Amino acid sequence: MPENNTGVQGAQGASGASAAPGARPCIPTTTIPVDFRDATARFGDWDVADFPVGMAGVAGNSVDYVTGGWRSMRPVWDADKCKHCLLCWVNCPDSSITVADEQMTGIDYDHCKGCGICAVECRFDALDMRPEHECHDEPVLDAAAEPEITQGA
Amino acid sequence: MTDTTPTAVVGAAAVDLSAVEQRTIASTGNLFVAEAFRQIDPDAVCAYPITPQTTIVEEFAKFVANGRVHTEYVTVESEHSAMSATIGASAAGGRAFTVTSSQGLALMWEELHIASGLRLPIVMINANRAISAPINIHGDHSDVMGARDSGWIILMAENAQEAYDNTIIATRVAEAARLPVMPTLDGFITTHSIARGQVADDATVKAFVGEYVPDDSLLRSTSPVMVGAFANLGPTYMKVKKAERDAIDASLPIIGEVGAQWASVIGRDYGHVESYGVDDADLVVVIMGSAAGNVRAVVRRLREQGQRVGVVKVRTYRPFPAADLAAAVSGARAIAVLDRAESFGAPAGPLALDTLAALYGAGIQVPVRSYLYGLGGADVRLDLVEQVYADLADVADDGDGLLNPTPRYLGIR
Repeated sequence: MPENNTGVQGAQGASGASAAPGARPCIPTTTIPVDFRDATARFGDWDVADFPVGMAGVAGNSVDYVTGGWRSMRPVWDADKCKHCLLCWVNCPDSSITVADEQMTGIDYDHCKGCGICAVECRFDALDMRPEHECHDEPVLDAAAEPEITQGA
Repeated sequence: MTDTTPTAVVGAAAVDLSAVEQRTIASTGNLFVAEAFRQIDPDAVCAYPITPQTTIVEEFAKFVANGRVHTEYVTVESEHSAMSATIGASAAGGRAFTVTSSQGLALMWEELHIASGLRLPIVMINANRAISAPINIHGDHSDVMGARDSGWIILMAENAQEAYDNTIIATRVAEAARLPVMPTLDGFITTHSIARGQVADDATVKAFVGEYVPDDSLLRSTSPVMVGAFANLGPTYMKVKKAERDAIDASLPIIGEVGAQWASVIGRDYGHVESYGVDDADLVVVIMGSAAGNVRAVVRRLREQGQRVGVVKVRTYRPFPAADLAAAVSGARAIAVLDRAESFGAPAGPLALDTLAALYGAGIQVPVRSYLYGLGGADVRLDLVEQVYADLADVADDGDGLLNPTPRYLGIR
């Protein structure tokens, strides 16, 4: 259990007669948000009372949260053809066209979903959509080598 | 050792008892509730009209339009959106209320679980009404029973006075237990009939509910939280659900404590169950909602004739006050449970199932008869209630099994 999550019963708020007038009463479990980005946290080892009320978490953000893994097609940028018009940057729904000093610098594959809008919008064929598996060294599964699934006995 | 007694959890009510003023008014149940809303002055009300709750949101809209409350009033295009917006307002850190009924409550179903799972202290009034089909706008408990297992605290009012009191009690219960609360009143019988009741002065209500300061919120700029995180594979989801179960179990004494505090302010008791004539009763009826008065009238008449009969009205339905109910009926030789909602295919009506579990847990084995009554607003005539007690007398004398094989429909052959 992480140190910032005490699981102390009734850790907050008023208690009995000492309550300030009109004070919001306390609740019978921890309200300290949990940092779900903490890769060392072992939630499986936590007790029920260790979880914050309603499982509220420390506010995350979409920069830290890598979502590019959904992609099946990836845009590949040809810097020689690019005229830096930034139409792709304007249209990208995931802010995944990286830009510096008004010049395109590349593609943020951690967040690009492979929707292909950038390639459609590009007037100079500088963006090419390619199957994701062609962009990796790992071998593609050989369907013929897979065992056959049979029904029944 | 941290003090987790209800008073510690709930905190004291900051009411100046010497300044409490009550006035007696005649009004519909819905306007009693709207008056409570006005006095509580929630941060947000997100609602969609549906019979028979419409006059609550209609009256409250007037309060907003006339500047009598500070509430952000959000009109939406459906109950699905009403609960979604209420959840958003609550997660953002506001005291958020809504109102619904019947098909509207059904349309909210997925959000009901989100509200409770996120542990948001929302208060939602439900005007109890039948569920289609066939279409029917009148009072029964079919809609509430559809929300029964959604993790909400459910309070059942018999009349306009209880609906008013429960709305105020619910506000503090929700925030102390960190659970949504659904105070209900029966459609038309309670929502639209004009009844006599007492309303406390504004300052008393405002002091009683206090200022709402959320533990955490989306909009707390110094340390905002994430709401609605993914509970990954493994036991995390189940642990969070266990915490929710612990919370609703722990809310029973909280409801009792807040009810007792309100009773000390206005002089009307709140018990999880309310008993009438049960101390020496052989035959006891268990019931919820507006028809409890009908049963009480019959009990009074039969007791004048020397019959040992009683009635127990359940006010806190979720969490179910099993021990209170078992204690109240412990002397009975036969018990009838009157349900105003079906649980199709179940061995008995929903309240009957809860009652059976309460009796079993208390080691009480007496004959129980499950009845369905008043569906779709069908009349609950006194002669029908008398028939229940006559049936019970036969059951107590002749036995014929501990439970009827399927619920008996009162007044329907």
